[in-house]
Amino acid sequence: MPKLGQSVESCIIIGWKKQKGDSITAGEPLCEVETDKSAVEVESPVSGTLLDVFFDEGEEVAVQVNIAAIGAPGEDVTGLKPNVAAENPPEDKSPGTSDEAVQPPPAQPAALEVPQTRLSKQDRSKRRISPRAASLAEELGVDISAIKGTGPGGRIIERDVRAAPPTALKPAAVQTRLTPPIQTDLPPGEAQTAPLQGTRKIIAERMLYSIQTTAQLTLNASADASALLSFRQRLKNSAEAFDLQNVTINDFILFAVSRTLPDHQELNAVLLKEAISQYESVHLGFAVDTPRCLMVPVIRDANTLNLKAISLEAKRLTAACLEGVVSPDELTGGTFTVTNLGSLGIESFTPILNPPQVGILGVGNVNLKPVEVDGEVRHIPHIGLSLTIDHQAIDGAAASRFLGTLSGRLTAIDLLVAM
Amino acid sequence: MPKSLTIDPSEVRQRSAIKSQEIPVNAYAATPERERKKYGSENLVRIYRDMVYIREFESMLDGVKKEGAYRGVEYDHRGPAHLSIGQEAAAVGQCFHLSADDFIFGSHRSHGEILAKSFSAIEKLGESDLIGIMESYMDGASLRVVQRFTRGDAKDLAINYTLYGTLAEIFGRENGFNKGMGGSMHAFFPPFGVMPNNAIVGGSADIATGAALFKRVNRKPGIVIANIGDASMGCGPVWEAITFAAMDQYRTLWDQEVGGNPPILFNFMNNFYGMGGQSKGETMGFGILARVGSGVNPDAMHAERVDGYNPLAVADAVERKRDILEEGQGPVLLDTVTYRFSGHSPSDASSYRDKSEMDLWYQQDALTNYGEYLKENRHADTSRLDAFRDDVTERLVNVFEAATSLELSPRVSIHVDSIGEMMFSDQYQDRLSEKAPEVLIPKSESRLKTTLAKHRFGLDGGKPLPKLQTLTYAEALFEALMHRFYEDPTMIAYGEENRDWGGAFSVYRGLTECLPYHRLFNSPISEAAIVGTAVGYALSGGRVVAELMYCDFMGRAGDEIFNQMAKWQSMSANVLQMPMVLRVSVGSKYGAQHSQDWTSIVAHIPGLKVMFPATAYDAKGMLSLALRGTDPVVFFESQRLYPEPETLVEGGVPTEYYEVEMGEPALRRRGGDLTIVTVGAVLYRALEAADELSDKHGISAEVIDARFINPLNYDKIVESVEKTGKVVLVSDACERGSFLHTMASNISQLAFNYLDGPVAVVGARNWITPPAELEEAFFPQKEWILDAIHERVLPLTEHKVSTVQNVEEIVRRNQLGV
Repeated sequence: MPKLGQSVESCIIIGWKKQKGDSITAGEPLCEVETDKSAVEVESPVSGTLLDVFFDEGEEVAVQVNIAAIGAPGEDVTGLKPNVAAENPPEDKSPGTSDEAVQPPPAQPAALEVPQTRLSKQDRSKRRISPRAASLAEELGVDISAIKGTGPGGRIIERDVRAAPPTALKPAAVQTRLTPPIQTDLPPGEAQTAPLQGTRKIIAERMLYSIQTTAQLTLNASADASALLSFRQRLKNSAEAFDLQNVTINDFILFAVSRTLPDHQELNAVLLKEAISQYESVHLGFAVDTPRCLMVPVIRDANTLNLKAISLEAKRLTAACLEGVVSPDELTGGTFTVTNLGSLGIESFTPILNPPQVGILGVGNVNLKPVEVDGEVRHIPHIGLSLTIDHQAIDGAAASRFLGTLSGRLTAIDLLVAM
Repeated sequence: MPKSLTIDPSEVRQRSAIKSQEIPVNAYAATPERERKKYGSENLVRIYRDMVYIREFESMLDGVKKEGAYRGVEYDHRGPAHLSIGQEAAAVGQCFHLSADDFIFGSHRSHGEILAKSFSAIEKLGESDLIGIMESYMDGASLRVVQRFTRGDAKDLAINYTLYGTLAEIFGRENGFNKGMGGSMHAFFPPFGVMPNNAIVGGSADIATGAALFKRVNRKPGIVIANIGDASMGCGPVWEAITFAAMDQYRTLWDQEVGGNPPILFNFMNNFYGMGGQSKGETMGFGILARVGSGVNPDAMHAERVDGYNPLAVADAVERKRDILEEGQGPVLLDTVTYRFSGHSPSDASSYRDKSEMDLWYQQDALTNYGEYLKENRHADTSRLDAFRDDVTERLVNVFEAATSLELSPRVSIHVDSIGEMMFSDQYQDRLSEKAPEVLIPKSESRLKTTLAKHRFGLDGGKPLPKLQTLTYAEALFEALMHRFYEDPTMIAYGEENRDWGGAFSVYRGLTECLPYHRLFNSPISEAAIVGTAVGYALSGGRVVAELMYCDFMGRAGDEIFNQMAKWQSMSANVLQMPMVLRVSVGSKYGAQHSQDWTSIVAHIPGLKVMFPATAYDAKGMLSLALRGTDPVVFFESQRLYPEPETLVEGGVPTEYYEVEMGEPALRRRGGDLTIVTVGAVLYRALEAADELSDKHGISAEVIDARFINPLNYDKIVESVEKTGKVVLVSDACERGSFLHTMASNISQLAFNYLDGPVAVVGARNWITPPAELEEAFFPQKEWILDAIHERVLPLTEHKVSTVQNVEEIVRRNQLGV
C-alpha cells in the first residue's frame, strides 16, 4: 500500500481491478484505494501474474503494508502476507540480501512496497494522546498527526490540541445525519442503484455537513468583462514563445481573487468551533469537474504567483485530477475556493461552502448587460459573480465590499496585472 | 489510674502467698429421688425428648451430607455441617433453666444449642407470646410454611417453626432465621435468646461479654452464655474477653446499683478436640480446662468441670452459676465435658482418634444412658421414649420437604441487590432507649462551657487566632460525643485511658466529670476485647463508642473488626443492628507501629462505614452523623490535626448540633485546571501544592477532600475531573493497595473520555514509617504532589523536580517490592 500523502496513515481498498490469477503489466491499475480525501488507483510496479491479494474490498490497510503479490505462477508467496511476514522475520526474501543461499530466483514475487516492520517505539509514542485530547481534536477537527505532544513522554494532551496550528485543521467528519429521510422506498419503475460509497460518499457527507453547520449567504454581482475579454484575446493571439495562449478566463479570476483576498482577510479564513483564523497567504482552491467526482485542488501561496504561474499551476492540478494522480496533500489546506460554472452556461448560482473555509466564489458566464453610459444605454459584457459566505464569520456588508473590490479589479484587470 | 484507688507500696511489697480456690470436678451428686422431686417426671422426660430431637436433626444432616438424601428425598447441601452428635446432653442440660431473656452465643457447632435453647424458651413462653413472635418475625413468612404441615397447639407449631427456621437457614433459604445469610455456622434466633453463633473459633467470647455488659449497663434481665470449644482456650481474644469480664472496677468503682460484673458464663463445650488437635495432652497444657479459672481472679471464675454427659449435672451447674452471675459476682467458667461422635465436619475421617476411644464414648452415650435412667426410675417406659423418635421423624420429614422445596423455601433473589441491601441498616436514631440518660452533672456545667465560648474559626482576617482560644479538632469531637451522651441513655464509651486521662489525645477530657463509670470506663489493654465486646453491646441494642488510640492497633483486633463488627448486620439479614463507632487515630512521629494510615485496610472489608474528617467542622459533623446511625463506623482521626482549629469552612464550627451528609466529599478549593482529591490530613499539603500551582504556574487546582471512604459519592469528584481532565489523588496511606487505587480505577471508568492523563496516585512509601526526623521521606509532601503532576499528568514550565515521581519509578519500586 503506497503512502499517498504526508498525513496518510491508511487507505481503504475500494475495489480490485485484477483478480487472482490475472496477468498484469507494470503500470496497469491493480486496485482502487481511497484515503479520507481522495480515491486513487494503485498501479502495479512490475509485470507478472497476480498470485494473491491479502485484503478484501472495503478493508482498511496501513500504508507500506503488502496488499498483493505478483510473480510467476506457482510461487510460494505466503511469506509476503503481512501477518506471516511479521511472524517469520528472519526469512528475508527482499533483494539485496548478502546470503547467497537464499538469493531470490529471477521470478521472485515482488512486493508492492517494502515489507512492513513492526511499529517502532517512536511510532507508538507518536500516537500517544489522552482521551480528552482525542475527543477535543475530533470536536475541533484537528489532525492529531500534525501536532506535537507536550505531555509526559510526548503525550498529546488537551493544551496541545487547543494550541494546534491552523495547518492542522481538517474538515470535520459528519457524525450524524440530522435530516431524517423523507422517503424510505424507491419510487416505482426501473432504476439503476449503486451504493453511496467512495468519494461520492465523502462528498455527500461534506456537502451535508457544510449546509448543516454553516450559515450560508450568497451575494450575486457582476463585473464589466470588457477588459477581461480583450486582454484574454490579446494573450490568445500572443506569440507562442510567451506561452500565454492558454490562459483562461478562470485563470484571470483566480489571479484577481488572489490579489483581492489579502485586502479582505476576513474572507481568507477558516472558522472552527471556537475561533476564526485569518490568513495572509492565499491558498486558493478551485473546483475541477472530473468524471469520478468534483475535486478541489489547492494552489499554494497564490498571492505570490503571477498570472502565468497561476495559470500553469491550475492546469497542472486540473490534469492531475483528471488523471487521478493528484496527491491528497494537494487537496487540503485551502483558505478560499473558486468554482466556475460559466463555461456550462450558468449565469449565477449558490455555491456550497467548503468548511472550514468561510467563502467560496462562484463564477458565471459572460452576458451582455444594458448599462447607462453618458445618458445612453449600451450593452456591455458582464461576468457573473456569486459569493457564498459563512454568515457566522462574516457580515454581508464586508462580503459586499470584497465583491465590490473584486469587481473593480476585474473591470481593470489589465492594470491589476501590471501592478 | 483512678485517684480513689491507691497503690500502697507497703501492701504490694508484703511477703505472702497466693492460695488457689479449689475447683470442683464433676462434683454433681444428686440422687434420683431428689431429681424426681426437683424436676418432676414430665420435665425429666422432656429433657430426653429434646436430646432425641437434636440427635435426629443432626443425624438427618449427616445423612444429607454423606448420602445426599433424607428418607428417600434427595438433596445436595453444598454448605457446611459441623454436627454435634454426642453433645446433646450438654446443650439440653444447659438450657433447661434458661428463659428467653437469657442469651446464648455459640460456635460453628451449635445446631444442638439452637434447638435446645429454643425448645426451652417455647416451654416457658405463653401461647400468645409464641404466636406473636412467629407472626412478627420476618412478617410471618416461615410461620406460613410451617402451618401447612403442622396440626397441634402453639407449642407444636413453635417446635416445627424452630426446626424449619433452623434447617431453612442451614440450606440458605429466605425463610431461614437469617434469610440464609448466616447458614449452618451462624444461624440464630434472638426472640428465643439464641444469639449469633460464630464460625471463628472463640469468636463468641468477647461478643457474649459485650452482650452481658449491655444487660448490666442497661439493667436488663438474664444472663449470657458463651458456648465456645475447649480449643478456643488457645485464642487470645478469648483470654481478653475473660479478663475484660473479670475487671475489678465493676465492683470497686462502678455504682453498686448497676449490679457488679457482667453476667457472663464462659461455657467451654469440652469435646477434647479442636478440629484434629487434642486440647488435653497435646495442644494445651491445662490438663483440666477448668484450672484456667484460678489464673483469672481470686474467685477462680467460680470454675467447675461439669459432666456434660449427664444433662442434669449441667442443668444444676447452670442454675447455681446463674445466681452468682445475677449477684454480679461473675464471670463464671464451666468446663463442660462432652464428646462428638460425628467428625469435625463431614470430610473428617477421624484419623486423629482411635475407634476404641469412640467405642468407649458410645458405650456411655448420654442419650442411651439417660433413657435407661428414665426407665429405671419409672419416669417413662420404652414405648413412650421410642415414640419421641417417631414424632421427631414425622416432623423432620415435613420440615425437610418444605426446606428443600424452592417453591416453599426460595433463596433470596440475586437478580436484585437483596444482599447489598442487607449490608447496612442505614437507620438514624436519636436514642435507642427512652430512659433518661444517666449523667453526673447538667450539660451546662460541663466542659462545653469552655469549648462553646471559644472562637469557632481559626482565622481572623486571614491571620491565625491563638490556638488555646480557638475550638480545635479534638474539642469538636468532644462536642459531638457530649451531644449524643446526653441524648442516648444506652451510649457508652470505653478503651484504654478513656476515663480520668480523657483518652491519650484528650478528646474525652471533661467526660469523666459528666458520666458515671458504667458509661465511660477504662478497659484492659485488650484491643480484641474492646472491639469484640462493643460488637456484642451494639448487637444487643446499645450504642457504643470503642476506641483503639492508634489505628495501628487494629491489627490486634483484626477478627473483631473484619469478621464481627463488619458482618453481623448482614449475616443476621438485618435482624440485628450495629450502632457502633470505632474511633482510631492516624499517628505520626512514633515510628513504624504507631504512624500508619490504615483506611485502605478497612475500606476493603464489606460492611463497614469508614470516615476520616480533616477539619474541625467535619470532626464534629461527621462524628455526629456516625453517632446517630445504626451502622458500624470505623472513624479515623488525625493526631496531626487534633490541636488544629477550623480554617477552611467559612463561619467555623457551629455551636449547635449538625451532621455532615453521608458519603459526600467536600470541595475545599474551586479550580478549573486540575483536580486534587485527598483523604485525611494530607489535605493541607495538597492545599500548599495548589497554592504553588497557582502562584508559580498559573494553574488553578480544584481541591476535594473525600472525607468518606465508604460509602462515597463520586459525583463531585467525577464532575470536577470532567471539567479539569487531570487528577491527582493523595493520602498518607502506603501507596500499594491504597484505597486511592480503587478511587483511581473508578474515576478512570467514570470519566475516561474526559481524562487528559492517567489518574495519578500519591501515597506514602511502601516502607516502615521511619523515625520522626525522616518522616518527610515517607509521607507525601507538597513537592511529591507537584512532581507527580509534572511527571505524569501535566509538565510544568520551569519546574525542577526534587523527588522521583515518574512512571519508571513506579516500575522500579514494584520490581523491588517497595
